[in-house]
Amino acid sequence: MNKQAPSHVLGIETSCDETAASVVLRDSDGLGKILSNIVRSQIGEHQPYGGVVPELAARAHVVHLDDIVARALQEAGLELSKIDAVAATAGPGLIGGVLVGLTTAKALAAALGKPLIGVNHLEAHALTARLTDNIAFPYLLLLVSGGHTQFVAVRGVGDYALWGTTIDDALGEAFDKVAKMLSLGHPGGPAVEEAAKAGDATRFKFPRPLLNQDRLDFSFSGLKTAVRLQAEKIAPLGEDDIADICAGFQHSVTDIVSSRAAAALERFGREFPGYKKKLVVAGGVAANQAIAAVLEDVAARADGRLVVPPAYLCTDNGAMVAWAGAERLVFGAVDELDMAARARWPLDDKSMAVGVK
Amino acid sequence: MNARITLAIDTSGPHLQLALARGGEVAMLVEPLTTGHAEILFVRLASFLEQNNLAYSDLTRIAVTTGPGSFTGLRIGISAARGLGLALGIRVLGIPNLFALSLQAPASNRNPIAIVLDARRSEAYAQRFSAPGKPLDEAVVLPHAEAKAQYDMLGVHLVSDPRVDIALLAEFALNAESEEFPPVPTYIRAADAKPQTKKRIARR
Repeated sequence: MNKQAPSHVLGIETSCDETAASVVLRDSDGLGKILSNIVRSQIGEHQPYGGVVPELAARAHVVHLDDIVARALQEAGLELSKIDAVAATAGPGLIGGVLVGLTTAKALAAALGKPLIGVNHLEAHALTARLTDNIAFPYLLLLVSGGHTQFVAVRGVGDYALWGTTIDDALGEAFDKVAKMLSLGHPGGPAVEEAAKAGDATRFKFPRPLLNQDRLDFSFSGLKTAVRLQAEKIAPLGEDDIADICAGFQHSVTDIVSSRAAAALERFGREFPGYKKKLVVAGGVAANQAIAAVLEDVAARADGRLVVPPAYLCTDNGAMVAWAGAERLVFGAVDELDMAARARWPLDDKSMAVGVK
Repeated sequence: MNARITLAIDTSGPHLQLALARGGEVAMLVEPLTTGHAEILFVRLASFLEQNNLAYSDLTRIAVTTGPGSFTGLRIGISAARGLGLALGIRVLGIPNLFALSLQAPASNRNPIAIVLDARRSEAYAQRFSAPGKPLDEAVVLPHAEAKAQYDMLGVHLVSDPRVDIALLAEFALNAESEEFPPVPTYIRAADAKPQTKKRIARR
């Protein structure tokens, strides 16, 4: 790629339960540097409800976001007027929160006379590995979060092919639901992983739905139900029961993920001959050590490379939004102030494409 | 020093309202709009400023309605106002809708003012004022019948039209004490969220 003018982009993220803002510098060689990354989590506010309550999330975003943005600028040591573009998640996500972030970004862009970039939250996750590890296209992305479980062939900025997705629950959602039925608290992922450490993964045999079919899709709803039925059968549950259930569940999950990832990398090899098989993991579930371990193994067996950005950049944050904005800005892919927020916005939507500059 | 100019924004109901106030002068834009506030707001704002030969950098204060009203509508207006305030380094005032409505009582009125607005679900938002801008109690949400019994009394000036006069609001905000009007939503009604305990499996 030719040399580009360096750009400072402000990124805003409000699509779920984190109010986040960040300033990222993309230098003339296309390398990224995070100058600030402020995240205000609402975990405590949603805890009593056992999951994220959209109206409560939106209520928190609107009273905190401007302060979070101001702190991100202060930490970056940058005046707002020195920002080259304002990027915000425009979807997919909880629409009430997305509207707060996008409207704030529009106000900043309008008043400062700077370009607005409405970022697809999934693209932000997809491009994070380029910010952290300067990965070249193409690569295979496994996006695993509370809302998404997808294999995506990342061919370029705005150029994505969806190879597989969940047909029911997202993986993070399955972890949360298992945690919830076992009263392990919210968010459930880390709690289930922790409980599983002490457990015997062989005591219960849970199903691996869809795995007998030759496709790259996931299904976790049946697995979750099997966990519930088993748990109900042996209730009341002791600590050892809970540990064994979590270990069995996580073992099923790692089996499913590793088998699918191996098949997806194989397809990557067929469709992109001559390219190193790079598997990038993003999303909150990427922080799960058991899953990371099996993926490391899958990548090694395929003579490929696994890239897992640090956990704080895998969960929702403003830096990934700023970076996606910076990547789109290179192509002049800026948005109008009448841009609509989108609750649903698949990565392979034609609106994602960037023009040739 | 440059002239003080307040921009007022109201997206709390089925309309988009904008006003610009400076000493003795006020311009306004009122457009019926049931949905799409977030898409249209900055398009209208740009042309409205242009019509009035103003740029964003001329603004010295922002005012916004804080509700009650559409939860989403309130957040769009308040996010826009706070974003503009941050970008321009100017104060943002949040004016509660019931407070703004009290300002609209006719000058001839000498009676206490009761605001009673339909809140749907057979409920009403209500608040009493001894005079325009002088609240007697907190705004509340209560059943229609109760609101009628408590607030609609002889000798009270009753307001039941929810539409805020955006020009009057902008003029008020021009000189109001900003500390008294934080730009935070006044939803009045709590979020619909109940702690969940069902679907849990018994533990020893």
